[in-house]
Amino acid sequence: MGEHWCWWILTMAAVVWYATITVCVSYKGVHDIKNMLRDLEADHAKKQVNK
Amino acid sequence: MVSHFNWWVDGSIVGLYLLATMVAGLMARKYVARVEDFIVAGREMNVFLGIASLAATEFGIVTCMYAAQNGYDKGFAGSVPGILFAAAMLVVGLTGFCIKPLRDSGAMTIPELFERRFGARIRWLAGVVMVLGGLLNMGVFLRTGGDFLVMVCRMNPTTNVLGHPTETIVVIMSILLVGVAVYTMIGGLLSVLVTQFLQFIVVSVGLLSVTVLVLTNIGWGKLVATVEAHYGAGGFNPFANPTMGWSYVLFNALLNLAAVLTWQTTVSRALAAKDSRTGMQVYSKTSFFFVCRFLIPGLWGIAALAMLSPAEVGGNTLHAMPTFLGGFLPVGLMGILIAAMLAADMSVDSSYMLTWASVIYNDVLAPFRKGKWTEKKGLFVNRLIVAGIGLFLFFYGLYYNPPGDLWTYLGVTGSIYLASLSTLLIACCYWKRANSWGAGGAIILGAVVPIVTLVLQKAGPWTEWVTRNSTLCGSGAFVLAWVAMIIGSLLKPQPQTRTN
Repeated sequence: MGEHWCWWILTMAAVVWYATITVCVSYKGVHDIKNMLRDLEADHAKKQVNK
Repeated sequence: MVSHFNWWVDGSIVGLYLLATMVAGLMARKYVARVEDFIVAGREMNVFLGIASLAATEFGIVTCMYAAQNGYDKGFAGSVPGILFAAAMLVVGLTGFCIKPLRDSGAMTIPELFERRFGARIRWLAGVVMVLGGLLNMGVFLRTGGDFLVMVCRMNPTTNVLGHPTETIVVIMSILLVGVAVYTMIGGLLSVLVTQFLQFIVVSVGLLSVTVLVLTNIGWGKLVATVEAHYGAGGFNPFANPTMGWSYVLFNALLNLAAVLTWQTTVSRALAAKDSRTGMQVYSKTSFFFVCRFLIPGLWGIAALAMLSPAEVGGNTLHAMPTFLGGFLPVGLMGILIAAMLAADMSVDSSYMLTWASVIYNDVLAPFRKGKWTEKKGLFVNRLIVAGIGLFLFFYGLYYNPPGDLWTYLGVTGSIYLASLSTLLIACCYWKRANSWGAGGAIILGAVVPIVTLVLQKAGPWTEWVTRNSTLCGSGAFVLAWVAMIIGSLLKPQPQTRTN
């Protein structure tokens, strides 16, 4: 680590943060996509009915 | 030098990734019925999809290449732009500075908001400089992506296409462009969001695997010692680095704050969010990614500095990192890296093509759409513009070679509109006296300085001085844009208020 410890901490933080956010996004992003497509479909269906 | 790319193992990984992306991208097309679905995904995006999309949009091969070049040329200090970007994004995300009123306004693009405050002419002018700066900026993306793939796979410079000898880079650029353009034209931002989710995961796996391998095989001690030996204190401290200094840090601080506020590909994630609170969360939770975006490829650049001789790198330090990785990565990991970089490049290209197309459609063509176009015609025109941008990328990338380092080129082209539009946006949201005279002056002066800088870098007696001081010129654009906004706004007579 030596005298450039701040760069070491920043590098390790980057690797750990990136790994964590990847796991979180992989899991929760699927739900977001499902919800987004479901809401869009419902929105389109509602507009068709109003027409 | 021999590449470790194995067509069976690595080729299969890449092929599988490409197939999955195309299927996912094309499946989203059935949900696109209106222009709003095409441009802002019906404003249905939530936080985690937003994080994946924003991170994937702002990390392409071009990002990886210039961040690695910064690491090779400047050591750890080369990661400073990423740290400044992250700081700006965190502050804006936590406070909602400008992006909250922008999202609450319901506008699809930034110039659309300007029309409400400064009038239709300013909207049109803002759209024009945005497209000019944005297209010049992304003009080098496709070429840089192609260069990376050719180098990391150690392909021959020429290849046979239907019996005709053709430059390999032309073939690679064509394949990349067609792959991206197909699903972007068909599914718009919806396809882009769905594919970017997949691309974010592939990019993350690739980046983390390669970084762990670099840290374990080369070692932290050797990376630090290499930077120390080549750049001394300047490799760790930007103010002690002769190629950086205060003007570089100042320009990057201004540029990154402006990009967080007005870079349309970034802002479009806030505009596509369900509401302003979701948009702010996407910003704050993605902020630290921008440190990773510079630091991780920067480490790869430092590893190239440690492992390659200057003769192996050749004259262009941009090529050091892919040359190093081509010989360093084992079979299997090479396939993961190529798939990751393809994912990164496709996500950036698709997103940028769509974003600039949306500004052309929504703002530059606004005066020609006075008789309201049908949704069908609107979608057709959007798709046509995306195709036109694709062609521009191909030819500009093939024939234009940017001077100096890539990050500074991107900074200077970006500041054609970043300097002026960030001034307009802040004034529009928070200064009651701001008006169209100030806005017009800011747009013109903010654009003139970077354009003159780009021209003088290529021609005239001051080429060397301008290239060396391009960051100073870039900062000048920000100062002049604000001066023009203040003087113009104060000079325009105030409208008389009617009293009884």
